[in-house]
Amino acid sequence: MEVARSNYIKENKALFKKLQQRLSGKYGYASVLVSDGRQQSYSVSAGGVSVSDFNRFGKRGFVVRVHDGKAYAEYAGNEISEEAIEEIEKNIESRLLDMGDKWERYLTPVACEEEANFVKSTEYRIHPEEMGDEKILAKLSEIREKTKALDERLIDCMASLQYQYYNKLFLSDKKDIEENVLWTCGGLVVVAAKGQELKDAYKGFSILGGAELLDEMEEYGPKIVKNCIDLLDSEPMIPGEYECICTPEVTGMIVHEAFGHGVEMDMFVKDRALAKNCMGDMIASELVTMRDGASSATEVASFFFDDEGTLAHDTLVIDKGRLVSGYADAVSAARLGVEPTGNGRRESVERKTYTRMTNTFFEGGKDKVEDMIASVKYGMLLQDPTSGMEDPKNWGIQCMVSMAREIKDGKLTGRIFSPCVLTGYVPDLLKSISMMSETVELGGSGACGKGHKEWVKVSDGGPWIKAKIRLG
Amino acid sequence: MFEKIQKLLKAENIENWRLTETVSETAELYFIRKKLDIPRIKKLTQYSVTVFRDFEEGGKKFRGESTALLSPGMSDEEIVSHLKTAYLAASFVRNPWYELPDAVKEDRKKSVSDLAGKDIEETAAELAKAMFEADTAEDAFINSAEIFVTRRYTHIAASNGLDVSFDSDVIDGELVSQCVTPIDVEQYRSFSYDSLDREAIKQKVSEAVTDVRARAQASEPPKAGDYDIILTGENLEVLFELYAARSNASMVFPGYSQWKAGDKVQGEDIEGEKLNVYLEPLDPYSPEGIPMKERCLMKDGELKLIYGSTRMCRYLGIEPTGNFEKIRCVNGSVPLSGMRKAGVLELVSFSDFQMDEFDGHFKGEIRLGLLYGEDGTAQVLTGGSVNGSLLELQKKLTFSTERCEDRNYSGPMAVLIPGVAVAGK
Repeated sequence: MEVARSNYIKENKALFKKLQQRLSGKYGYASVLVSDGRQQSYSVSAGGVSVSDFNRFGKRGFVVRVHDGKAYAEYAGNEISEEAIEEIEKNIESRLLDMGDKWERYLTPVACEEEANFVKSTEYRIHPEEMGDEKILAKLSEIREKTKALDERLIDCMASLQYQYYNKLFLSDKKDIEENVLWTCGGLVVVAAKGQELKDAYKGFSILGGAELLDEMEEYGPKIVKNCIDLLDSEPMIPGEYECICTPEVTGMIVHEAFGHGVEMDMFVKDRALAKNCMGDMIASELVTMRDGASSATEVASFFFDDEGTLAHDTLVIDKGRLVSGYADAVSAARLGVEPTGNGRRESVERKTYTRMTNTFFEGGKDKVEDMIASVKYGMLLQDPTSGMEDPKNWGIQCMVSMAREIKDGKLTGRIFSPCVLTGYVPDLLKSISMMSETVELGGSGACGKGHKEWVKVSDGGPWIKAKIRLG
Repeated sequence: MFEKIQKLLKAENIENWRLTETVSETAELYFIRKKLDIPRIKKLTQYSVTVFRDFEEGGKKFRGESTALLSPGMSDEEIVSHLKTAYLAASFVRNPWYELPDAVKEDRKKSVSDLAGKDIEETAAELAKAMFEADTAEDAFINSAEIFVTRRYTHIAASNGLDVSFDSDVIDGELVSQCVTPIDVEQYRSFSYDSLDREAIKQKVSEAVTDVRARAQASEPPKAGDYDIILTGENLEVLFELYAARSNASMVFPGYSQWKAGDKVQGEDIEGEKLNVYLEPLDPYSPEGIPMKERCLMKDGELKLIYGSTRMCRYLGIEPTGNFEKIRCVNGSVPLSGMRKAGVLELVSFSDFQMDEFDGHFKGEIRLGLLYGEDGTAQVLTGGSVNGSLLELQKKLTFSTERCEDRNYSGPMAVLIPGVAVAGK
């Protein structure tokens, strides 16, 4: 089934078109992005049951962008009517552009646009709204109870589900395009105590689709409980550099946090990314090929056009170890004189567009996971990433994982270290990659911030990799 | 719209509800160096309705709830559809029954900030001007900055007669400082003010420039080992999150935290300072409409309060206090100069300093560290990481007499923590 169009957008399209055309007649460029949709979150835990609109990505509203001959300016709101059009025009002229005129502007050409006119939708098997709140909560409760019953040492198990369907309309002189997208994510967290210290294990699930995801969640209970119970006997990490095997989730964190933010090209404009000076250079092992794009994979960050109306791309970023491209929003691309890649994204219409990743991953290799573990003389198997922070300027790594399993003479010893901080210099880590598994997995249960804010849905992943990493 | 939603709730026979209207307007300025990248203005109105539904199963009373977001301009049919969906959802939320917050009816509380009544665009421009007045050096400067000035009106009403409203004005944003030689590096700083504090932003820029200049001299990570470390500024706010989280009813009720008022949560034989911590609200009412006031969280290392939102507090049989956004700590016994002894590692900045309230560990990758030598000089370092358990180290904390004042933190400028594991070369 295809995700349905928004009635709000259908009913108000003529008004938004009128607004765009009036502004376009006045300024060198004008576009309107309209957003609608719904998002719902469910959780069942020892703290109780919760159902609510989680209010982050998909607010109803619009953002108007104009180019006043020097650069762009934006006005965002959520009230539209014939009278509101007049007020918006007045606010743009007398307040917004007046605020801009007090400063020397960063001169920016109008971004090139291709013509497009379409309505496209993603597909789903079970729409969460059709399944209904009662059945969703019943299924989550069942998953929770079954998982919690697996070990009496567990304090809690939390089962959660979120979904969002969003509808976007982008209007400019050359574009009249509409997209309707549904993604669903789930999470399973189990918690056990070791004195005052709580140990938790988490598994995220994601799909560009609907409530069919719940079936996948049910199967994962025993694995996550084992991870959590294993953590009860963990030791503090012994700082040092180790040969490491990374699960696809940890690979994804390295791809996204350690490297991926560094080739967001709005950082090139600000002179905040070391990668700007490394185009064409070997920055990774020859085994590494990396892609990003809304059309590179079918995951939660797949869409048909970005928040500036640029159509979805599939960007080759690293080709057999060589850095060949970054990714760019339309404004940064215009400033740098390159083509935009469909990476101009906003947290919601309330926020500015930045260059943001979409589905970002390393392609697979030729190795078997068991051979990779067997090849380690002394090292760690890193799993369960918790967070990471980018450093485009200096390519420093900060990634956290909750578990490192010791490997000695090619075998897991059962000794576990937790928590662990991965540090070092990104190209050193990428160049040290010596093995990659055939299997590739992507996940998009979380959200990505730009610095400390601006959350958008992304997916990341890749194969299992073997690399040298400094742990602390 | 506010009245219309209330009428429709009544027409749908929804007995218990809470409705919040938020009207906000923000002026935003984004700079690349001293040039304006993009100006933005946004004006948004939003309505959030929480509906409660009571039911009984097997002789047990339940009170379910669900929240719907409504937008201005929605038709009656659309609003009713959202309300019905939320009310139906609430019937599947099998949470034990509890008493909703008491009804409070008070006049609108006006913003007491000096930002009240001023154009938000003008305030943004004045703050930017002050910021650039402090950005005068050639070698180290502001690379980019973002400024947000928001004026917000919040109105909360509930079916039991609760009716409160207030205005707030806030400035927040971030800046990135850069130093090009000998190594091209940057440092991130965020800021948040409820008044137009020109001197505070100038001080912020000055610190950012000083730190990034020092960072540009650093190329080596520390040697791996255990160090006595100093944490400063906003990282202390992060550290205190452990105490705020573990005393929150949302961690106590599910059994994640065993803490209770009267516990000596720092332990028995405290070698360092005994903690004295207060929680302060930033708004006059919680999102549930609970009137907020300052509360003592810890006195001489002893926990004085379990706090939180209504449902969790009612389940625990304690007074609902609402949640707090600011921590105030009154500790401080040693001047910073007295902490900076040979062998001590001062960790000035991190990529992202984090406190995990579950496992009690603080951790982060070191962006700038100062390792003090015998002669009082400091070796600048970068890279490596710190990872320590505050649950184990909390008996040995020493705080500076110098203070740090921010919108979300008021307390000592620095803390000295002995014997922390540092990963490095």
